Amino acid sequence: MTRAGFLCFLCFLWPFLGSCSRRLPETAGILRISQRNEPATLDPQLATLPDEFFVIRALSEGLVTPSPVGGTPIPAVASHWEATDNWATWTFHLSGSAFWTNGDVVTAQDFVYSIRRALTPATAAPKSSLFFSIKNAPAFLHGTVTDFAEVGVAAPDDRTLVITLARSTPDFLELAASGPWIPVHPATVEKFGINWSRPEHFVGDGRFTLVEWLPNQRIVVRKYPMHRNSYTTLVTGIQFLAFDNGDTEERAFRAGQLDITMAVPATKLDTYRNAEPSFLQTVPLHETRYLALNTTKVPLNDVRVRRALSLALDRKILTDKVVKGGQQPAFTFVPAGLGRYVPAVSLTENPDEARRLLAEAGFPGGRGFPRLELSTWPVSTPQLEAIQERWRKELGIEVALVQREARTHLAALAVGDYDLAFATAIPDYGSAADLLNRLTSGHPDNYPHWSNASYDRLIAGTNLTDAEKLLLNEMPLIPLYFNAKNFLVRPTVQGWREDALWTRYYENVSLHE
Amino acid sequence: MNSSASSSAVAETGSSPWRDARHRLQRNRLAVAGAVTLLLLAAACVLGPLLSSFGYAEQDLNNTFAPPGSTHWLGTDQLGRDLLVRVLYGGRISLGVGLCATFVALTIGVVYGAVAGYLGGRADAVMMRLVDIIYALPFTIFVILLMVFLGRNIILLFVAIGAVEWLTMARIVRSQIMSLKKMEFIEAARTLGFSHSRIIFRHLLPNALGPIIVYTTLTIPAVMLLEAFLSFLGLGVQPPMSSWGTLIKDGAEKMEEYWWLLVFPGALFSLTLFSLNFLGDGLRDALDVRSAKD
Repeated sequence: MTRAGFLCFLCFLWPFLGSCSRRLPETAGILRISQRNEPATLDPQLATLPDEFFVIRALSEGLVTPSPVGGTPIPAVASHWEATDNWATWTFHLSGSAFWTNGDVVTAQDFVYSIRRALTPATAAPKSSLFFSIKNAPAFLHGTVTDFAEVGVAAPDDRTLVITLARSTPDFLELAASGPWIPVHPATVEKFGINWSRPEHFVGDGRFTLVEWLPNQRIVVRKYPMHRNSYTTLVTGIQFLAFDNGDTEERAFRAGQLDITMAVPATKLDTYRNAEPSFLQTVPLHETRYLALNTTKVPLNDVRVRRALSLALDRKILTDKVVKGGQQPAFTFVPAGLGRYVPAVSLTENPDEARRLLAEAGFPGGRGFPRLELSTWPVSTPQLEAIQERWRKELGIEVALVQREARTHLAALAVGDYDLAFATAIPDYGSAADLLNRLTSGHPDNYPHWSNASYDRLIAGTNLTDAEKLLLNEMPLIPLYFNAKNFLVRPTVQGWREDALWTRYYENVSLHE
Repeated sequence: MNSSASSSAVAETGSSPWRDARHRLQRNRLAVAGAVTLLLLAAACVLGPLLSSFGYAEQDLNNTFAPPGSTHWLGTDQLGRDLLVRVLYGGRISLGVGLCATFVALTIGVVYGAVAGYLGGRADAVMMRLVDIIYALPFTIFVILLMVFLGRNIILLFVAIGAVEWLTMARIVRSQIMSLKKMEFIEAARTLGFSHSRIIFRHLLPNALGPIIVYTTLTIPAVMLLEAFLSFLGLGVQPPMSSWGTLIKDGAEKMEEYWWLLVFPGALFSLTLFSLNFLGDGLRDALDVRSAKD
């Protein structure tokens, strides 16, 4: 080939050569965080997953927001508030310096609109129960009250929001700080309907704006410089990068493509503990991992069998030798330290008592006990194998492990198509009531499909301590451990905080090369 | 002619094609080594777990991830289970799947191919197009779908794998039968008025046995690989049971910290596959004179 010919050939190739090196997005000053579950929506009233609220909390904020140092929620859009009538009426004063990203002021009417939206049946808000402490709210959702003026939400002027609750609720601020209470911009929602949360339409009131959303790849947000607290936003933007499993995520972290991971593969925990302890962070979570027992099926409808299954376990060895990620054995259903709740009882472990109860229920030594299935989603087999073996050894019963895809597993839990199931309970806000509510008759998260009239009465009377006592006595579920979140943070990231309720705090987070 | 032939046969102490083949095989050192290794492995897998004091599901949570040592020769896994017993037990499953699935494939493939090749004409065309169609289905997805519909059961796993592995066997048998059925001894059998099934199973198939045996030994490792692959995807045996596939999967996740979890199952699996392939190659050289290298 002649020299001229070669040059022509190069010229021809040039555009292709350029495209060979994969164009990576701009990274200077940008925090790269991994995401696990692809958000189905970024609409605060429709979102359910922690992964969705990670992004939503960067884009928007509510009246109050969880405090990064724990304790009572701190002011956000509302600058101050009063509670009267024994914590049944709450008046929030909006600061007036909170703006939507299109320039509009955030008003009290915006909150009224958002709460009404969450309680409108057509919205089908999955977390509408978080608004049920408002006077007449459940009635409005169920259609027995049709005039929203009767619901306890009012905006006397642009900067005052008055919320009247059905009864005294001292921990209402925790509720108001929860994700679904984050407001939406009414005009945008009216104009674009369900598509308002697409990047081209999104209007929020937070410290970041939505730039790009490539499903299953990344969500990019950029610092919003006009936010009243933008001086504490120390990064220029955040990329939420999708990684569907812990192993690829960990490899990407090692290759320097990620600043903060979602988790650490359990098998890599020891490696990081020994070799790079400064990368590893552990946050105890208010998340209870438990076994749901399908109380509609024989023999699990017998309380003696349910208690025997729990009594036979050894939770301490399970957390210390098998799970090994800083999880704490659960002897109650509600995690210690959640809200102001103090548990009254704690579960015991006693294999002899378990064998006695099982014999009493008609299965001495496990003879005649049907082969039940213990179903799970594809993450947790070793711990369940340990439980399987424990039951085989202590009670003489065999269970089969069945792995199902996460969505299938959840659907099966909801309709009761299982025997025993590994499940998890994450409270939506810092209160024991939220967790214990889920076991009331007919609640959509009542996976054991358990129904107990005295329990329902205790919950209705907010007698949580006695309710949990009854729950642990009747044992429709077996608490195993309180989860902990292990994740990796690059030392260049400073000021990163996550709390026990899966909230991430983006203020004062900085990158130092 | 008869007398001279029989006298020469006596002089050569009764040589038959089978005896020749056995001599050729015995001269092939690799093939013999493969066969011996396989026998030893199979014996270890069958007898080993009986002799060990540990059960395959027996956990010792105070002794997890123990490196190879004097109590646990190959170390223990995440739940303190003895890896040696689990590897041997996994070998039972993997070898069992290999043999059963191959038997299913062999039965279906030989009968189907022989019938198609013997009948010829339109019947042959239809039967072979069916094979082409099944060939065109993505193999793995087909097995996964079968497992999803039939449920996860170890017996069904054998059958499902066998049911997709018979296609090549059917083609090989058909081509053999097609060349054989033109030969004089078949004409003779027809003239004698034998039934079709007698001609196929008594006269045709025994003459095609060489390629069938060879292909069978090559199918077993392919099937074992497929089982390992399915187990690797989480579709194989259920915990706490183990197969080489699930053991290798677990080991691969933890290999950076606990090398023994990957090395031992992987080594045993590779050794088995090598042995089967050497034996298969040796058998082909011994039985199928036309394709032999020397």
